[in-house]
Amino acid sequence: MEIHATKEGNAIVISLKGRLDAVTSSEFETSLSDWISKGDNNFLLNFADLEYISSAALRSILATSKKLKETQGKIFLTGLHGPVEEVFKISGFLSIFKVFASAEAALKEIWKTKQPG
Amino acid sequence: MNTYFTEYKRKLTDPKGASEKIENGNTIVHGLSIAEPPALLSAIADRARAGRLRDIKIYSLLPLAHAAKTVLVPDLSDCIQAYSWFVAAADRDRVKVGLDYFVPNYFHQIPRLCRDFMKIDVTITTVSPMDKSGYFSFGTANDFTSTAARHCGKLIVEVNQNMPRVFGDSLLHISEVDAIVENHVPLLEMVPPEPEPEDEIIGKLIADLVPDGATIQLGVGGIPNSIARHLGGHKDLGIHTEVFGPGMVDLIEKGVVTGRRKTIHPRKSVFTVTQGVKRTYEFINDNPSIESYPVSYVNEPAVIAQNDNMISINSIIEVDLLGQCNAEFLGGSQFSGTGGQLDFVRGAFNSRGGKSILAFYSTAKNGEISRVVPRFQTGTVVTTPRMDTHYLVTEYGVVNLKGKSTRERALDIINIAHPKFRESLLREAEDMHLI
Repeated sequence: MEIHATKEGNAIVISLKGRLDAVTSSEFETSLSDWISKGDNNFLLNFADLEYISSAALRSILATSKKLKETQGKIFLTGLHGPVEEVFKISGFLSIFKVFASAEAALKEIWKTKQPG
Repeated sequence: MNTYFTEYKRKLTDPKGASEKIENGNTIVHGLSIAEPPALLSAIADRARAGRLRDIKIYSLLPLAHAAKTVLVPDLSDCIQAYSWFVAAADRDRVKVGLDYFVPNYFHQIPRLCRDFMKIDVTITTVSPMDKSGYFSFGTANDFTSTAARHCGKLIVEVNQNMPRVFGDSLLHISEVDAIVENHVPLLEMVPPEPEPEDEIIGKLIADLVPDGATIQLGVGGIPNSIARHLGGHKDLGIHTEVFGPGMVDLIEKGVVTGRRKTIHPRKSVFTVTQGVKRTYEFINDNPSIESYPVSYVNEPAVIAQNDNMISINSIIEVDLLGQCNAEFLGGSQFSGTGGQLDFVRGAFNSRGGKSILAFYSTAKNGEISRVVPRFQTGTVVTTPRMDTHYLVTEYGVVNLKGKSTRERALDIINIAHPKFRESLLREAEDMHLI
């Protein structure tokens, strides 16, 4: 899996490529934790190039979003498609996270929120 | 106030207080389907959502609305790991994406799994109100629930005056209970589906296989209900069944079921789980002709076989041309569980005069696909091996595979497929060197 992260205003955009599964979800979680420890708390996960997501990764995203609640931070999603979107639908996770049709639309929404600190 | 009511009062708490007895990392078993305790499940979910419970494992079999709305929800899947002994509507999608873990089993062995292969910290279940001698009843759910209740660290019961009090080996003494909550909500009901046209034909075909004086096991659903309707003219039937359902109440009230010719538990209808509607629960309440026992007894093939003329009826999803039956895989994933199918298939065949019957519609998806298939899709599990398959029934007829060659079996099975698929199935059978 490839993780590409950029800072866009008060949001960290994390683009994922490949498989987010039991093997790679800890690497993903570490990447998120690093940003959180630096004070960032709004994340846009872009799944446009993600081929597969496992339940281990779903749990990891959920656990991180709960951690972010303490600092009024949030996780937003975009680029859902194919089997990845299907997993989000079947698991009921679409009811937990806000999903945007494009990264631009998501960033507009995030930029409305106040920067931490 | 007698000593038992004093003890009851001492152990009585509210759901929140009872849930405080559960610790991080605990393994919980909850009562099966109708017996799932809504107030306790809700209190557990509240604690988990507040971040005060984590690393919980919870085991279900056929979870219904209470479990589905409380602990089997997406936003708690990081702190509650759910395990399923039988995949059903409430946990099927979760199993498919890996949020629930399916545990393969024979239903009759689950009590032993609870006792010898698991460490259960907490069991929670709904029970009927306590009597003057200090006894509750497990009501609709004896199955593994009674064993889990006696082989756990803490037992918390949710008393509901709507839970029937049942005879047999269904009692639980106050001294065995650690905490009590009260919640007198209506029990969940499983309303029978509207019958399909095929149900009537299959019901009639199967009823014709049942002799007077037989002991029957039926499930719940369209086909079992139709069979029950067609058994209306029979005499002196008996009941030894995994699931006691609404169709059986009708048969008892009509005098079709008397249990007079049963070879074990004569004059008694024996079950391990009840699923039905309010009338079903009221019927079994305090009814001395109805007895429940743990599933390790009711579904034990050797016990089933002690009933002469035992006729067991179960459903399958598909059969292949070898006679292997799949009752649990659909579209490449776990759709259901083994449940008690093989328990009864084996028990009924070993009964003197017994028959095991597996029923299914010949097609699925509005007639687009055949449920008789040359071979199963890769990865599909076999619920009933070909050596065990006895009678198969579709709306196109009845076949008995016992003692038949692979050629005879394939031809028989093709004969109960939908006519539009028979030619292609014959060709496949030839390619498979079966005919």
